[in-house]
Amino acid sequence: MQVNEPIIVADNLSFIRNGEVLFNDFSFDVKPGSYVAVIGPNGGGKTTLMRVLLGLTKPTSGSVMIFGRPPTHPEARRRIGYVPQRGGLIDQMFPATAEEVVAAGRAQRDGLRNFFAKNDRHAIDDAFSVMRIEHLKYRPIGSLSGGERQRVLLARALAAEPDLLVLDEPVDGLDPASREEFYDALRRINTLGKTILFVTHDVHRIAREAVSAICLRHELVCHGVKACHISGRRLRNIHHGTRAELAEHHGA
Amino acid sequence: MVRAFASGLLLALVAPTIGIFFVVRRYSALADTLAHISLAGIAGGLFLGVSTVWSALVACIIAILGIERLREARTLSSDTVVSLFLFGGLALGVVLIGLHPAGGVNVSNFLFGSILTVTNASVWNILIITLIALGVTAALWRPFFAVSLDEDVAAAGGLPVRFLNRVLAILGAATIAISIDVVGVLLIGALMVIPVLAAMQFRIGFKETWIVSVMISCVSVVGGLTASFYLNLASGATIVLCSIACFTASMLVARFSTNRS
Repeated sequence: MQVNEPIIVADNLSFIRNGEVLFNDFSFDVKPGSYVAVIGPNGGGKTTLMRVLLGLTKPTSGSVMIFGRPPTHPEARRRIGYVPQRGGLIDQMFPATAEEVVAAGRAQRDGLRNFFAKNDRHAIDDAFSVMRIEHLKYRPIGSLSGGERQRVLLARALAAEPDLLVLDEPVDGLDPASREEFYDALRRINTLGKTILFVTHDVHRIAREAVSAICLRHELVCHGVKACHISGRRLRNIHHGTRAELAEHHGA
Repeated sequence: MVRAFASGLLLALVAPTIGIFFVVRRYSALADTLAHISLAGIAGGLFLGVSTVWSALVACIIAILGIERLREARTLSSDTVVSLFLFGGLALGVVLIGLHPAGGVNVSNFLFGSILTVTNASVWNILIITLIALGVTAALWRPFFAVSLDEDVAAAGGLPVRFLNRVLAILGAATIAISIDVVGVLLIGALMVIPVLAAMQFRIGFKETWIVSVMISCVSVVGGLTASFYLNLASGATIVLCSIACFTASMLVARFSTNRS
């Protein structure tokens, strides 16, 4: 792949489940180093789109290439870090320290290798350092607040040294202070050259954080830096507005 | 008694080692299901005149692969699949044992264990299976942990989740097979689960939880066997009661420590 080639290329993606069209005939690309938000109303297909990009779900039709490969290819998967919504499937009682959780993120680099090499330890320590959560290392994951937990999960994704971070509603349920800390961390990560793609309802923040947005309401509404350089109030209108309003906004 | 302690301590090592992954993944019902299916395997072993440990293991492996296939197909809910195999396995086992030509097979030995009558051959079988199970778990400890923590994230990161799930399930089947003589089909789930639950009361790391659960398991086996010998009690059930006592003590100690701090 050349340096500025898109790292995500989606062509004519469609997803239909039980007769319901979640998204239809969708094409977009994401360039390296981008900070892209995916917004849209509940049930609009955002999480399903993320799962398709991660290779966890197959689209009904269309194709996705991540780093020039299908999303299920080991080389593609090795370069992606994923932070699921609300801590994903981790139980509050799960007996693990924050360090063990972050170390689990190295597994995608190491595959079935069972021991930690020196570079594994460095990557884990770096992840704690970037997230500024060294003080949480030995705390049980169940004793952490929601905000601390999400930052640990982001550190887990970073420990794999990914080139692309996919986050599904990472600030959902967090208090305002925790949200600010999380966005600060994402900004630092983006300045390190990582590409960020995240699903969010936090429309107000998008204009200050993300450079571009994919607006999804069963179909792609807008995408790209020039087409979607939208600030707060206008973005809110698109989030809840109609296709006609969007067309008028873009001068179509 | 030496053979009883040897087989009991081997089980005390392997049951929580596999059990910790079953507990954190909420597979406790699966452990019970495999235990019930093992009875059908035992019956098959009696008919064929082969070691019941190995025939139980084969039956459990076949069943677990069937359960995983049905779960992945998602035509039935997970609970439905597990229930079908659980009740079906027990029923099939009891019927087959009843049809055994020799007749008069003591079902209660298989249901509740008969550790005091364990033979040398059984101890060797238990040792071999224990070493294999511990070796495989040690080799796959990190990937097992990653998949147990969050299957979706592990899959997105490229770990072979389906393969790891199957291997873990087979290790569970192996644990069940070697436990039949010690605590019996009806109680093996307890030895896989209760020491781990006891250790989890202390809210420590994963590795520490495993170590504490193994210690609790060993204490339960030694305490249970000793008590059953001197008080003339059913050995398998006494071991499980000891593990429940350990769980209660852990809960109280953990609560006391929390209140003090």
